[in-house]
Amino acid sequence: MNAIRILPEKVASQIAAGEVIDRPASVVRELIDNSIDAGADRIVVRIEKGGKGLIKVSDNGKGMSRDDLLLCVERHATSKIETASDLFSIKSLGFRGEALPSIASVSRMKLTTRPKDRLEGHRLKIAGGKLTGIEETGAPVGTVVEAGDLFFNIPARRKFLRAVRTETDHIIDTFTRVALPFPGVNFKLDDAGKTLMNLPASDHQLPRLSVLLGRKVAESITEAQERIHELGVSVYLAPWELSRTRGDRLYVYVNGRNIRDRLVTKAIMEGYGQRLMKGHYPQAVIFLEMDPSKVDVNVHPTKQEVRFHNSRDVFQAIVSTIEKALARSSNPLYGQVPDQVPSFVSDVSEPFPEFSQHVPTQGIPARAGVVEQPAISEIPQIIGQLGNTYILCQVKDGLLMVDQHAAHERIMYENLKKGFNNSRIEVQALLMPHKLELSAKEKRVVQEKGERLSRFGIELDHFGGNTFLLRAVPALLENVEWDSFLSEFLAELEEGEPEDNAIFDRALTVMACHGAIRAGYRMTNEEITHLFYQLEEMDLPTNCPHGRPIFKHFTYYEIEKMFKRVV
Amino acid sequence: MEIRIDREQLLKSVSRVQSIIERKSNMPILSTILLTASGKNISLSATDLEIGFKQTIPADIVKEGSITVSGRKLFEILKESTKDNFQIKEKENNWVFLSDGLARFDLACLAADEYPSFIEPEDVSMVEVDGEILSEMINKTIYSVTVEEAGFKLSGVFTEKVDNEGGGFLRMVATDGHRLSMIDKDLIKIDSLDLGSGVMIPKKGMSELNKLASEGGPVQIGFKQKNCVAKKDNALIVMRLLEAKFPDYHAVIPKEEKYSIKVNKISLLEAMRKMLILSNERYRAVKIAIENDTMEMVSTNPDLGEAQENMQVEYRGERLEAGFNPRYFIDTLQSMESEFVLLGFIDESKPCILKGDADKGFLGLIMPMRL
Ligand SMILES: Nc1ncnc2c1ncn2[C@@H]1O[C@H](COP(=O)(O)OP(=O)(O)O)[C@@H](O)[C@H]1O
Ligand SMILES: [Mg+2]
Repeated sequence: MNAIRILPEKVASQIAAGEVIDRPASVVRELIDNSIDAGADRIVVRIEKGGKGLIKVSDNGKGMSRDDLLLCVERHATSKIETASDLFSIKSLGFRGEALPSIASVSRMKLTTRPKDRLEGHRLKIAGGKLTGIEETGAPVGTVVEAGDLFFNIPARRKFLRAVRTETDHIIDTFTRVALPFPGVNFKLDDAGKTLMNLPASDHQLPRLSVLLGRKVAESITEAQERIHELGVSVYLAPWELSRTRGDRLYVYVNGRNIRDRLVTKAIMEGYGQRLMKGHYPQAVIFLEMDPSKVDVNVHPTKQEVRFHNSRDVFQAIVSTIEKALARSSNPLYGQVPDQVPSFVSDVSEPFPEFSQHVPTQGIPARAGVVEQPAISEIPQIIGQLGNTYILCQVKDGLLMVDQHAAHERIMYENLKKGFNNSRIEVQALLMPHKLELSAKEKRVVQEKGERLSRFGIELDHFGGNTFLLRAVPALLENVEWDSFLSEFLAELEEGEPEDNAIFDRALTVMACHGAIRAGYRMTNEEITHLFYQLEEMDLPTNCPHGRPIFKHFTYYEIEKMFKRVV
Repeated sequence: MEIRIDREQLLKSVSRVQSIIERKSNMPILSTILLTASGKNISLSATDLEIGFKQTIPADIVKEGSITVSGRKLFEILKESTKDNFQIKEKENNWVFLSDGLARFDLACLAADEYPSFIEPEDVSMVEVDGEILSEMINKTIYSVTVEEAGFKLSGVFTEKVDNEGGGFLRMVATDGHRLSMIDKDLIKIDSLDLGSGVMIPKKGMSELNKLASEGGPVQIGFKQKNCVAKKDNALIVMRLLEAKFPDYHAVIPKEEKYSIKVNKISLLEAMRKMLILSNERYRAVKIAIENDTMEMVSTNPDLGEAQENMQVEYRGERLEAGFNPRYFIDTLQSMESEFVLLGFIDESKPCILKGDADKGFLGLIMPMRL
């Protein structure tokens, strides 16, 4: 029964209130949310003049009775929750009964609706919050909401609306974001009779990801699903090569709701780990499915923020799902390169089912069609060194360029890290201790965090004043400029808690960077072969510890295009 | 210029300068050899601007003059030929004609006057050294020089004059900061060598010098104006010395060792090589423990496993333990000639000292690794 009730004052006062309508796109979001909550599988949005003229959302959902139609434009009138405790277990997108009255108060609105069990429908008109009429009318099952002349009665707000183009872009963005978690629903967006977007219902995710991220990105996506302690995590990860300097292509959903969340962003970044350069963000879509009582959505008026009850678990689950998924990408020296990984194929007909207790704990079936990376298929054939900086080699499907410093840095880093974790970094004593002048700050680090230094295989003795003697160093580090290395290294150790792994990682990165062969170093073929051989053993052979790429691959096809052999 | 010359003899000179001429330089002229004909000889020069090599070879001079020609191509042409005689003739517009009577080559060349002039320091006082001794000195030190990487300080062999009561001797020392090798050899008339407080000879120059010296016979060497000059028969090498200062190494040479252990060199060398099998990285320590006339060597690789070998030695003192990079032992032992080497120890934090009866004047130091 679809009975809308006015929430008791006590419940209404607990709702995170605020202005929910600030621009046409937020009207679109609220109306689509309502259509989805009404169980529609076909939703058509029509806008005029960037939504400033008209926003019309039609659905084939369950519709409303005459009584409900009259109630739905009242404040705090909702069919979705009843008591205050319902607020802590919200299964629908809406829950506060605020959207329709808010839109009604700033536009000329028409609602036409017919529930399935009735032959006739009703139309209600309301302008600037004043009911102007309700009449019986013939209508298909479902609801059509038309909101025209947005902010017609608040000129100050109307003035702040942006150009038609800009508002249209916002609507398109909102539309694609909201549509993404519901591939079973057909969404359509028209602009004054012209179709901007048509998203037919589909049983897999690729078409919508293509719209959201572009076809090329969507096709190179790595997909994974995990269920960890009642928490469903589905990830769609673009290759790290396509990272951006802004986090604008990170899409996060909790139970079908698009949210922004610092913790989730951090978890995604951590999952990509050293595949990202400093200040870069990947392109990724993450769906979280969890018991609605484990997440508070009543945090922010726009419902775009949530609070997780077990945020640590959520964080860990995302990190481990992403780490596992990305670990499958291969080493371009021997296997296929990431952007040749076969595109999206899925067994899962409903990648993000509504949360239910009946989801098998075994997890969602693994995707079909994943090609296992071949074992070493063909050893790269070394062509030579370019500018004593890049190694060129011929691989099965084209040319591979390797940044020698980045590659060696990766090897140094993982070897140092392995030694560090087993507390056995090999330490070489120096024949002639190296004398160093430290700054007052550096001196303090050495004296206060001395135990850290020895864990890294560095022995520094105080000689007097600010002078120290470097007596022993990690055996892996050769040809290092000790002064500049130590000042960078000590700066990393200065901060943080004694057992902060992030600091150790950064310190090891500094070590690897200084110890690695540099650009400009002429390598013999044996050295190159040895480098490749070592690289093959690495956990992450594709990026240096700073996240820069180690390889650049040019397929014969790309080269042929370059030379216009093909067009 | 036009000459006729014995092919074998020219080939020998051309092949020895292959290591000097730059193949990848951005100055194309450095990949060429300069040939100058005058009187009854031609002189052949090659340089990479750090090292210059010049040799005079007798030839039939038809017409005097100079040409440059690709060092690599000339080498290949001479090598493929089986004839005795070879003809080189300058043609117009920087073309040169080469022929062994059978095959004929026209090669483009660069103008000879653009060839970097070869500054041979004047009035260098030269001292005669036995080539074999010079070669030994180089062989016993050069491996300790740091791998050459752009601008690294120690990439040379420090050479100095050491005064002694009965005269002086010539000393060469090299180190990469982890080990050091040093050799002293008596030298007559060493006083006339202008070595100042010692010079740094670059590694590449040292190996060129070694080529000259290893043929045996007397070599003249001298130093002047930041250059080292070496002459042998009709060949001359001039190389620029490194500006870098060599650290004060005297302090690190132990005055006396606490324990001295006599070991068969070949057995130790072979054992160290076996230790390397389990450490495919250059930096892994082998642990040495010595007591009761036994030296135990263990190398552990967390990924692969462990290797162990025991050796008979002469030692009855307290148990000694220390870790070392086996590669450093291998390098040093390989350069030594003695059947038995003496390993000197002080404690696990001081360097191990290597000496041998048949390696007169030689001292090797290897710094331990922490266990
Ligand atoms: N498209 C629709 N189809 C059916 N019912 C709707 C639709 N839109 C709104 N409603 C009804 O109107 C009520 C009020 O909507 P709204 O103001 O958006 O509040 P909320 O979605 O938070 O409940 C909803 O609870 C729902 O019962
Ligand atoms: Mg709503």
